[in-house]
Amino acid sequence: MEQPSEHDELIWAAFDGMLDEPARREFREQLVSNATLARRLLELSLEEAMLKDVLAEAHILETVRTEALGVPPRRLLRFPRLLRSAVVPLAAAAALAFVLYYLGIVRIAPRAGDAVAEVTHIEGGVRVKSHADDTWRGAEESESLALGQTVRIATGGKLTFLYKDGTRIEARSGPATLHFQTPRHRSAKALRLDEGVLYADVCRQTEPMILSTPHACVTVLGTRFMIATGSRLTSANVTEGLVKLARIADGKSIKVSTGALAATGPELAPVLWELSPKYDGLFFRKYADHYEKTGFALESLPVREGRRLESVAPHALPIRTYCIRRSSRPGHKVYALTICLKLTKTEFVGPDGNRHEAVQISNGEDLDGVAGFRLAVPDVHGFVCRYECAVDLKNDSAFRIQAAYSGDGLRHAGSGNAEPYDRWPEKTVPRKGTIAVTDQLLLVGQDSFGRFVYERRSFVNGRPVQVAWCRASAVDGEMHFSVIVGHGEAHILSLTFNELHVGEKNDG
Amino acid sequence: MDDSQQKQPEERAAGDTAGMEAMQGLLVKHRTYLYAYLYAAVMNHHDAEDLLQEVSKVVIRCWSDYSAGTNFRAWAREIARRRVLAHVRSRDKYQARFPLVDPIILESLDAAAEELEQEPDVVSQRRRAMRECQEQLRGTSRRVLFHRYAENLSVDAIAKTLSRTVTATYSLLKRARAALRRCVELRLSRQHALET
Repeated sequence: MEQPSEHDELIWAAFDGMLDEPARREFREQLVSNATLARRLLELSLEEAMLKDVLAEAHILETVRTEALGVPPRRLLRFPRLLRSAVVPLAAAAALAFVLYYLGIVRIAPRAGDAVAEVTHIEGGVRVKSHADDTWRGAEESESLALGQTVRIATGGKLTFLYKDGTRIEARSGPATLHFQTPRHRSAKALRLDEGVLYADVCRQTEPMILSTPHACVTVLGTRFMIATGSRLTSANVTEGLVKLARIADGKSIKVSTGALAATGPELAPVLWELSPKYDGLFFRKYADHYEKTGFALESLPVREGRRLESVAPHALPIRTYCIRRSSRPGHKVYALTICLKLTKTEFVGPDGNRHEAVQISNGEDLDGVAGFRLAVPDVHGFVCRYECAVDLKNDSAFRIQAAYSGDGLRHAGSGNAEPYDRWPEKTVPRKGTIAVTDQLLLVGQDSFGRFVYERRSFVNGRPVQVAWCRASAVDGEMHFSVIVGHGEAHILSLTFNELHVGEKNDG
Repeated sequence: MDDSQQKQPEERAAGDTAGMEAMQGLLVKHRTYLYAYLYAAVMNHHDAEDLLQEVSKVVIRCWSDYSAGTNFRAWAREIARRRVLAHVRSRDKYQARFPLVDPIILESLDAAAEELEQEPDVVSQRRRAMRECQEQLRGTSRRVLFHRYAENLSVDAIAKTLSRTVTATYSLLKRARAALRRCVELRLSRQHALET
């Protein structure tokens, strides 16, 4: 085993300010003459940097946990030095502890390896890393999951597990990586989600359940919610109950209640969005069969005849035909519109000269009013993404189109009165359903005139995305939306509907 | 990672506006190394963080000077070196606070950094192992490390908090750090053995 060398001792002493002036002078001289020492200094600096990151993160978790438990800081309970060394009080304390334990009043801290949950459902690749020997193996249904274990769900994979108290955790679509952390008490739960999305249905807890991500920490007492984390953002969407979302970097936190959605990340202080009011007066009788065929409405949208449309889109939708029909009753405002998007995979040569998989979305039909939709693809650093939005109208109609690009310097395109990107209002991002969209303006550099250039970076449910936005309006026309995105598999992450002002109409 | 894989994003990065996005990625990727270099020079976390911010701004401003296919980390490190020296020259207070800032010593650090850049990136692996190991820390070892790294307390301040002498506290800190390192090394060697 590697022991700290003399060099290490010396460098640590310098880091900790434990060198006196002569020693510091000698250290400087050695650094100039001894290349090994300089190299070791850099290595230990790297170690320090990592140690600082890791312990700062752990410290915030600890703080949040302590705050949630209402436990006073340890230093308030410190005994005087005299008592600490006394044998009798220690013996008495030990006896008391034994009695309290025997009576079940004191809880014993759990240890790595203690089974805490059971796998109830698996689909696709799910692997488990043992806490004891770090080996990976495939997970099986009905097997126990223990503290200290790490579970990796492959892309598209699914995993559901139940804690002993009935708390249910689901990873509905990988990739996701989660780690069973050791909580302070047996009755507590602590999970770390390194990436991916989890749905949690948490039973009433006596100790808060702590769900942490690289950026944030969610404290739960009993609720249903979804948590998603990516490289830059963590979001929590609460279906029922109350959770606390805290940013690890500075401990800032907010409470997220039923129906609300919150997000935070290294570059975003915790923010809260109350979701839009529920839709009213939507009927889908005429198109019920169509929903059945596509599977979209049934799986992803809680759309039923006569029911309210509560969720506009799920976290990410697979590529297939999506169709949402608009209808209204006389005397009611129209809140949604008809838009039918068909996605077909194609290939194209991107601006970087390479061949890429593209997704074309077309076949908008039968539109009247204002249509808006948002498309997003995974953000790939260094890749040139290109978006095109076009609207062709069958009849003479008024229309307007806006398109935004990021990455390749193009700012606007398309037909009609396309508007420059920079004239867009600051808030162009409605948030509805289960989608958390956050935008940031990032300083990316200076142009040839020395002006600063900003780029809008969007995050959807914690995942950085490239976003194209297309908005068009037409009257009695047919619209064809054509969107080409640059890389990988595209997902429609939300379909956004604006309030329409087309008078009274009844399709139902 | 082989050489071609390493160069690919950097080659793509330069040249046009799209490279700006790659630049952000490179900055994030090499952030820990840049921080380590700055920390080695100033030996103070607050100052290293301030300097890293300044280096990031300069990288953005001078991005057009970056040549495609060259080593981004070395380029950014050169900016970092100049920032450190510029600060020392411009502010007297840094003279006292940056005990190692000296062009000759920075040259030694540069030579060491160049060596380090030839080796595979181990940050993410090591960080993961460290995260797992810190969970196993208990008692005073845990407290002393948290005080030192999470709260940025000096050894003197920690000694006061723990009601111990400075020498005893420093010994405790060294032992805790060594234990954590042993655990990390053990995990990494196990992982390496499994992979090979």
